[in-house]
Amino acid sequence: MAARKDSFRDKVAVAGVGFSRLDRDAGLGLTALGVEAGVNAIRDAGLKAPDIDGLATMYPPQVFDLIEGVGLDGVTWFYNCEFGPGAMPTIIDAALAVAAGMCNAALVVRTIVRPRPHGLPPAEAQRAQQIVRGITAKAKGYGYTFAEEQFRLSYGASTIPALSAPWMRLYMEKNGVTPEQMAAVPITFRKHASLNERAVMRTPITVDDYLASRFICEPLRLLDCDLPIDGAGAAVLVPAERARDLPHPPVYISAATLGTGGKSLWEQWYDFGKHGGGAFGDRIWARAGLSPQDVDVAQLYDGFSFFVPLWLEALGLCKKDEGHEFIQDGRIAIGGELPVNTSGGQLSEGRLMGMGLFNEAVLQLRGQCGVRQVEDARVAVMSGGGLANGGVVVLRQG
Amino acid sequence: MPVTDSDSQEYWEGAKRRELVIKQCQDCRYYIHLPRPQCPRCYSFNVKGVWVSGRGVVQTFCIVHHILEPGIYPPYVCAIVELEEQSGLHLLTNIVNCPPEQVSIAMLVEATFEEIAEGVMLPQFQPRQSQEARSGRP
Repeated sequence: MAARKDSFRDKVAVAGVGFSRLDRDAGLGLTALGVEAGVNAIRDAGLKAPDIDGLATMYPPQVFDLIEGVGLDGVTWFYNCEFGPGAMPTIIDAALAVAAGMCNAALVVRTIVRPRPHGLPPAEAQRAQQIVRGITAKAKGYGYTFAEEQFRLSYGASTIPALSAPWMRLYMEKNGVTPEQMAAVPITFRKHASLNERAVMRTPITVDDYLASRFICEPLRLLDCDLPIDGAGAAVLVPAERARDLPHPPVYISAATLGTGGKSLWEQWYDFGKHGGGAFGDRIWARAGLSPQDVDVAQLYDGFSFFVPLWLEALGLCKKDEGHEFIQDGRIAIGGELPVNTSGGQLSEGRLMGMGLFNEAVLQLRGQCGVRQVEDARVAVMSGGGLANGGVVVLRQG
Repeated sequence: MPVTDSDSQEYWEGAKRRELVIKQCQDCRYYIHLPRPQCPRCYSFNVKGVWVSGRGVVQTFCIVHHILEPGIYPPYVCAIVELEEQSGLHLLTNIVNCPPEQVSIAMLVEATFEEIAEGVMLPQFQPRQSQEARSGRP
């Protein structure tokens, strides 16, 4: 018997969210940052370590390191995710585990530290890492072509900016988007960040700042790229009925998708119409029992600024091919038609691989965003990744 | 330096001969790249590397202005090229023998081969010299 489209809807609630310190140099190691965020999320949920019986993290750090650091005892479900669009697999899988009764309270953690040379020039360090990964893949005897090593590195194309920027160019050329228009995204999010004490970059920027910002992979500029920071975000997920006993207003997960856009590799992907982390078409809205018009606030993965108009289109939040128009004239600003990335997003709060976006969605729906609060926020959509693969979660106020 | 494996061997050996060699399912005729031993469309293992013309079209590209790999100096172009043999058959490549500012979407290109180390040939793409351009043997 096929599962019903709505069998997951509103079964899981987010009871707690937490952050570690966020900084360009946080002064804490990777595991310790994850622990700090996890502890803050558990406290925010009104729970204690013995209450947490599930844990999901993107590696690194490794899940057992977190179990030890947070002092968990008696986990009945865990997930050590090595790969995926940001925090999406860990968020979604933890929700599935809770919905399936594998655990009663799942802690989701996503940690990241700024890449550092370790004594090598950055490019050398990156190359060294890639060689290690290549050797590891071979040693594991996978017997498949290791794409990065053979078909990207030799072209200087193994990094995400080099793989993404061509799609920015195609989007801009196809739709006649000017750099000035694209600037609306980083400018708006920096404005939001100035209202967010957690955000690492808070100084307002102008169109001139954007145009003066140097090219990384033309047309992608430095100000188009998310901000590398040290930090972690975490959340506690519980069964919906349990959330009502906990301190904060419950926020339910109404639906989720995790998927690819036809082709799952950056350079093989080609169809803008199939972007959306599996949510293209009606999928996410049918599962949520909602429509794009119901969304009050959106936290859309801004690994690069051009992802934002693409996400708006993919999720039906604006018309196809009109994302670049929708981002103009304050529509996506707090107080506008559809506020986006109210924390400043990855571009200005800092890159937390989507965990920051998830937490901000929850805080908005709880009404706890203070000067950033979107009035009467009842439904939020949040996304991770983009283009060839990604994920989407729809949340609603309990 | 590309480190090859059993799936990609035909590709890199073809490159040594200045030929672009792409896997093709001999049952359903589907071209497969990245190379793998089993056809993702019909699941046949009757897959082997075949010569392709090397003619393609630039789908899109970027101009890298930053050192991302040691020994590869900016500015250089990273492009997605669609080979004429099949819609969606994409290769990631640089565009060589062409100033970056002259590269354009929908530009016609052809395969060429760059010796990046002794005995190691790397397939690349350049502006198409003629309508009859083809890689390696006809």
